[in-house]
Amino acid sequence: MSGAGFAELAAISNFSFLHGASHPQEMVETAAAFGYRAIGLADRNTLAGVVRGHAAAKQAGLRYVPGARLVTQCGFEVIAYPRSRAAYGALSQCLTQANRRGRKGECLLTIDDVLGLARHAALCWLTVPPPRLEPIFGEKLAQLAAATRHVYALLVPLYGADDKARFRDIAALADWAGASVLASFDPFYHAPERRPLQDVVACIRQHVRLDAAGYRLAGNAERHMKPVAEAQRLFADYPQALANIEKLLAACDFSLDELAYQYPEDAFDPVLTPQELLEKLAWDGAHARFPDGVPDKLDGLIRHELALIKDLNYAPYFLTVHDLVRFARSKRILCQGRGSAANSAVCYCIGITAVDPSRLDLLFERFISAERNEPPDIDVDFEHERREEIIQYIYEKYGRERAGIAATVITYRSRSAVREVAKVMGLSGDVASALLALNWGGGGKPPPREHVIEAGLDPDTPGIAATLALAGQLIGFPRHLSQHVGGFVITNERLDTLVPIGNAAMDDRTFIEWDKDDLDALGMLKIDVLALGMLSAIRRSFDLIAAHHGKVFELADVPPEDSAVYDMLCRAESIGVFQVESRAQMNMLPRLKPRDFYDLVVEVAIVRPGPIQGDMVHPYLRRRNGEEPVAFPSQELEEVLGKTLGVPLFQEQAMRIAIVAAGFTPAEADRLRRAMATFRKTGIIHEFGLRLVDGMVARGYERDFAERCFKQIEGFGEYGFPESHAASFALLVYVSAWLKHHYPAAFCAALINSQPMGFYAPAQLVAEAKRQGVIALPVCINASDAEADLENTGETIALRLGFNQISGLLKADAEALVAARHQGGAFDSVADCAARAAIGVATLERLARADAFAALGLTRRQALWAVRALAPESKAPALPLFDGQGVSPAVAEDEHAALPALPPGMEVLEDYAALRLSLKNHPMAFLRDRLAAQHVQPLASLQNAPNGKRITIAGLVICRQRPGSAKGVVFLTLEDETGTGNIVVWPDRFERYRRITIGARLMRIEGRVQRSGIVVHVVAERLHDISSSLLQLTAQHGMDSTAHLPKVLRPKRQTGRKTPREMAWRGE
Amino acid sequence: MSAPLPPKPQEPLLTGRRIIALWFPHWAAETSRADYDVAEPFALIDMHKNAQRLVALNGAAGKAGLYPAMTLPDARALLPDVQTAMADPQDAAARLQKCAYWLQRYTPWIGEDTPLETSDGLTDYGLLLDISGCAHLFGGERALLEDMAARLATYRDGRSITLRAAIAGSIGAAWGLARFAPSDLTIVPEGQDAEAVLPLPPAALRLSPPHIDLCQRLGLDTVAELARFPRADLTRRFGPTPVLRLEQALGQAGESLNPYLPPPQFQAHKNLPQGVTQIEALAVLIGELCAALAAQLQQAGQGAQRLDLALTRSDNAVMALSLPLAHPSADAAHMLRLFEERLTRLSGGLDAGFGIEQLRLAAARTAEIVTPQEHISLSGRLRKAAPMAALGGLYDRLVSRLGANVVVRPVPHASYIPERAVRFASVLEAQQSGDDVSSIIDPATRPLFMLCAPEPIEVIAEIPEGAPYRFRWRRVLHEVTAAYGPERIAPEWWDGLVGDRQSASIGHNRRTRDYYRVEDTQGHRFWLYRDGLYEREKGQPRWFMHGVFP
Repeated sequence: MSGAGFAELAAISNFSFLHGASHPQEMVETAAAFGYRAIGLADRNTLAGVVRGHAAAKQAGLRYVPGARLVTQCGFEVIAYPRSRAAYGALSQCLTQANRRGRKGECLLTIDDVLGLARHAALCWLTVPPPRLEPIFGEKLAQLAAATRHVYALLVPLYGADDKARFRDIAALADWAGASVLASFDPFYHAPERRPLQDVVACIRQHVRLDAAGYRLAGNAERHMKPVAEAQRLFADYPQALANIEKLLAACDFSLDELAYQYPEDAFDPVLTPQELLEKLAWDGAHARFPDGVPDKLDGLIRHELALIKDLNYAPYFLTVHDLVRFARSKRILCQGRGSAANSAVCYCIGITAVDPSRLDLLFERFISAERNEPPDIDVDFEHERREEIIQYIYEKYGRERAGIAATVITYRSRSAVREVAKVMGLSGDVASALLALNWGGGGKPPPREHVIEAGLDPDTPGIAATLALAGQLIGFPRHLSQHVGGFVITNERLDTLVPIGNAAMDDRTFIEWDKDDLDALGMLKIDVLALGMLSAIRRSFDLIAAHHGKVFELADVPPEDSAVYDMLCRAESIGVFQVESRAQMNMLPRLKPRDFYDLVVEVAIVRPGPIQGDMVHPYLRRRNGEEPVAFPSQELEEVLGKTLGVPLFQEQAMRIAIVAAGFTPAEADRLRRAMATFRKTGIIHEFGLRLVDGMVARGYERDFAERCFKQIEGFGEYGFPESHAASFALLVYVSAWLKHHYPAAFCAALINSQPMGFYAPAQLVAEAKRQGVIALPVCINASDAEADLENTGETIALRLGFNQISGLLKADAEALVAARHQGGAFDSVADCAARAAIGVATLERLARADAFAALGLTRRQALWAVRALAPESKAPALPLFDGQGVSPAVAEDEHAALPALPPGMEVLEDYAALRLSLKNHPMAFLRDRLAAQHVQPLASLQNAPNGKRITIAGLVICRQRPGSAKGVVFLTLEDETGTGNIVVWPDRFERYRRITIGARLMRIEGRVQRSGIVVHVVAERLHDISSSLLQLTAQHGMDSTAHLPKVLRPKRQTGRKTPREMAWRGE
Repeated sequence: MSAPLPPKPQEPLLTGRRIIALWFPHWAAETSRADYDVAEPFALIDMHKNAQRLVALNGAAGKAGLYPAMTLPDARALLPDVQTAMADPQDAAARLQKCAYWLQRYTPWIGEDTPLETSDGLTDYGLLLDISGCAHLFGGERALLEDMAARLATYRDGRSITLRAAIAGSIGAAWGLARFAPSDLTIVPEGQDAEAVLPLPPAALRLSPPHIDLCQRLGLDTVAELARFPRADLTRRFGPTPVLRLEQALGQAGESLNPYLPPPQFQAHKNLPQGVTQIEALAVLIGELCAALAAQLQQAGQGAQRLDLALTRSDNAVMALSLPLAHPSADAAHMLRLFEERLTRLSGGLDAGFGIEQLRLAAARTAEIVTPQEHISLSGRLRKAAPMAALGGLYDRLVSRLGANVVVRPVPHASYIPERAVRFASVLEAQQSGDDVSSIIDPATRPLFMLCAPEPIEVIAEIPEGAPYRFRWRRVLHEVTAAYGPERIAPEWWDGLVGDRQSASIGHNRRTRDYYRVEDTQGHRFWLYRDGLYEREKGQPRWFMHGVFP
């Protein structure tokens, strides 16, 4: 084959982590631009990049040969290309075995593995000669050539001291070993400009600075792809090496398209086919949900969907999900489906979701379409604490051979890229941290010059400019593979013949090398088994209600459309309620005024980057409040936007607009959505943006509307929120709001016991419950349970805080306490408690700090004094504490020691320290007199303050946010004993009061009231840090007087009363 | 710093033990080698649990609201332009040790401060001095303390050292008062330790953070409140150490001073009743010291790696001379020769004032001398010192004459650029072979003789990357009969970009080189290169001669 062409068969991409310096797409596109006949992309000991290469090659119209570069422990490098589906499976299994031997990210491959694979599977082999030819390489080459046919040695022009001699030697060696030679550039990057980046990643890999790397780097920039003519010139003396490329291409005609995916076909039913079974389950479910007859609309939906499922043969998929849900139900684990197919009538009937599809109006085809032959997508949320049981069930049912977790490709983000590059460039910690603090634009664009100058750096310093440029290139590079949170792949055949499986960091966890996009591209089934804290909280609420109120509920039993619940939400009393408890949502609730379920769907979806960036929120609210007529941009869009008053709010609507109004094909719209979701494709997005806007303008839409639609699609990029997800979440919003309204004590206890979750700490949750009239009882050694519980006081059912509220208390100790109490009755002294519950002194100290011995008539300090008498530090004669003989009188005597009483203010601070909340009072209450003298108003007075009034307020800072979308505005939430208040700090005020805004725990703010409806803000004009006034509550001295305060109360700057030692620290 | 001392009509008689506790709240920052503006906030930082945090501040930083253990981002949020430098705890400790030496002017008994465990690993810098019987030499305790404070204020050129100090009858009381007494300088009259200590917070008792915390929790705000409990009750709750500390502070339990540093193992000194001013006389005395030191070293099988000579003048000024040695040596003559070299060079500068009164020579760093097996010769005579030791001696003399940074030797350096493949290291640096070169660069591909600067040549060669056909070098035309290459060597693009000291000038206009080994008709072999790649790099490529093969 002379002059016929060239193909690169030894390329690596950046999926050879920290070896390759170009994306698979870049390698493929360059190969296509040079007019190569094909490209073989083989990354080091992995198949992680092949799907991307495959997809890119398909788009570029280039032939793609998938394979892997096997690098053994002893340093032998050989590229393997499967010649058949079976050989591909064997390669994948071989990598799996090697992965499973090592820790996460390691692949311990031996030469015997390679030889074994060569003997038993039909692959082509390209050996990579080491930089200096050694006899051992020849031996291994000979071994390989003896094991199989199709063995080649690569001829690579390295531009070393004597390439000619090297070629001659390799050719002779190959000849001797019974192999042939093959021409390649063995490229690590697609173009010579990437050499600096390749040097940088090599340094990152080897943990050296660039100037110390020496011979660990390549001496020149020749490891890139070169034009065909250049190949012909360089290999002119070895025509056989070029001809062998053609031979190899002829031998390896395996394509990833052959990985036809099979749904698991387990015998769901001995008699019925999967489709028949699904139909039976669907109709049974429909009749169970509607005993009086299935409504016509639903009946029609079910028939329609079942027919479509039958057409596409998706019944096994639905049955697989149904099986998981059924298992969860049998274990009483709450779960709910969401995702594109979840809100279908069939899913409702077979119990995957509790959202009645007839209350929505979702088109099934939008999620499962015959034209895009793409698997349906159902995510299922489970109680977060019990998801593991579901995962174990999957492994048990399908075995590890057939089920695996998908990977997540962890890529370099601006921070990690800058950090690593700065290290390699030898920048000092100061400069590096200043660079880290910079705000990067999208797509790896370096931050603007002004920002660099603002950070105190000179953007023209060559080292800084180079660092920023290199970090920009590194952003988006895959860094390592990690386990996806819950994406499961289940196959019909062995999974490891499809894709290699590797060990995860967690013991006994494995994951496959492909991520969700890869699976999507190959059309493989995946189920997301996700964890959701709110489901745990709802389950706990149901359990508490059943135990103390005697009423049994499930998700589907909660009475729908309770107007009292909507009233509560309209008042923005949503602390603790799923999804709508954030500050932004609490602002939106009174403006949107949700009155029915669909309003909640809108509420969930509207406070999202998409609608906000697309500037769709205000038009929607105006139309909803009747301030603006509902109009549609066109007749054709009325159908798409009818439900949302002509304003696109959901991801599906944006996609439909692209199809209906801009003339995209559904497949193009889908590619647009994907382009948004994948990071770093700014070029493509831009191109789509032009097409979308121009397309819409050409069809008579206003350019402004078109641009807003595109901005919205951009906003959906990473935080897409389709209507179907919103609907599933809206149900949980409703259920949690219903629980909060009707059973506030149970709901509060359930939330506390499900921590950490949600936006608010137990202090705020308990305060909210108290506002709702719940009686909250303190942690008590003789009354509390391990967790927060309900307690019948005779008059009411009160909330009793549990031992889990005490920071650092072990669950086992709490349980031992409760068990000892159940066995032998209430404790009568600290020593009694220590002896019977057999818990350690550290635990008793925690109980004392939490004031849990108050029921025994002991103050905190007395309890601590008594506990410390049991301390192991004690060198006094052994006390008969744990031998069951009772307590020595000396100890019992000690228990009411004469210790100074704790001032009430300190009691509260101690409560916060031990319990993160106080039932006694709010710390601010103790400062109220002093504050009142400074004309500080309680936060509750904001409710009635007129718009524009100047006001002075003060409170603990419980929340500080500086959202990226808010252009430097800082939002603060203050809390005092009367309630909370929302503060807005505009950028000019922020700059002026930077320290205070960032540092103060306790603030006094002078500002102006701004009210819209019942939403009240204070726009800060002056801020004062009054953190030090908390110290006055302590009335103690010593350097660490605030050190034991809870973080939320501890002033960041230690001011206020100082000891000389502190003053000296400050040089006063 | 300069707070007036309480008026004291008369000094008590010096009967009991008297301890000074010194506390340097800003030691690490104030003595840091970093170059910073003392009037502006400055902090030393380290890495703690993967985060940069402040470990030491100067006064200005403290006033600005920074505090130790604060994370650097927090500090920057408060004070965007705070100056920082990396902390070097070993250096700070060494400087404290130096200060302890210096303080020997007041008393020979300098005590190590009890190392305190702190929860976040921050170091507290303090010293203890036993001045029993010394104070009268300085005009009383107050005068001594004020003298010390005044000298420390100018201890380090231009930067003052913040000092708090207390004199009391026990280590415990002095320690607590230095840190917690109301004034910077406190003197407790003899026998009144307990009264002085009782109002202090319990932290003044050198308690560990958990114990301080426990006191606070129990509401025991002062030493007095703690002291009110029976000792047995306290021991049961706090363990024995805090109770011991309490008793020590109250003067009820004894405590000995740990000498700050053991004196160097090998030293010799001479006191002279009459000051010596002449260098020649000094040289004789130094020779005697060298002999004495060498004898000590030989006995222990050690050799000195650094010699410290301290000359104390009659007016108490100390002149110090420090000599590094290339090889451990216990050879008195060699040592003396080195000092002589130095002294001659100092001749103009040595100011003996009214005479040198004391000479002290110490081997500050030593290492075992490995004596090689000596050759036994039939004639019964032993051969003299091994050649390496002799070379070491030469190095020492050269270094002492010329300076340590001037006497260097070449070592291999890992760089593809031929003229950079060597670097120069001080002969005093531990013997090292440099980077391993042979595994990557085949020595046969490099010429034995390389030109200092590549010389431009005229070449006829195939474009773009063919080997030369003929070339003219130093006016002689050479016909090429054989050529190997090109070996392509790209410039080190990071040159001038790495590290904090960057220069824009280097590295930028460098180009890729294609090296060829060629042979001419005469059989001479040359190493020449084309500078620059056609099309890929700017400008026309040029050719250079870089070396010749023998």
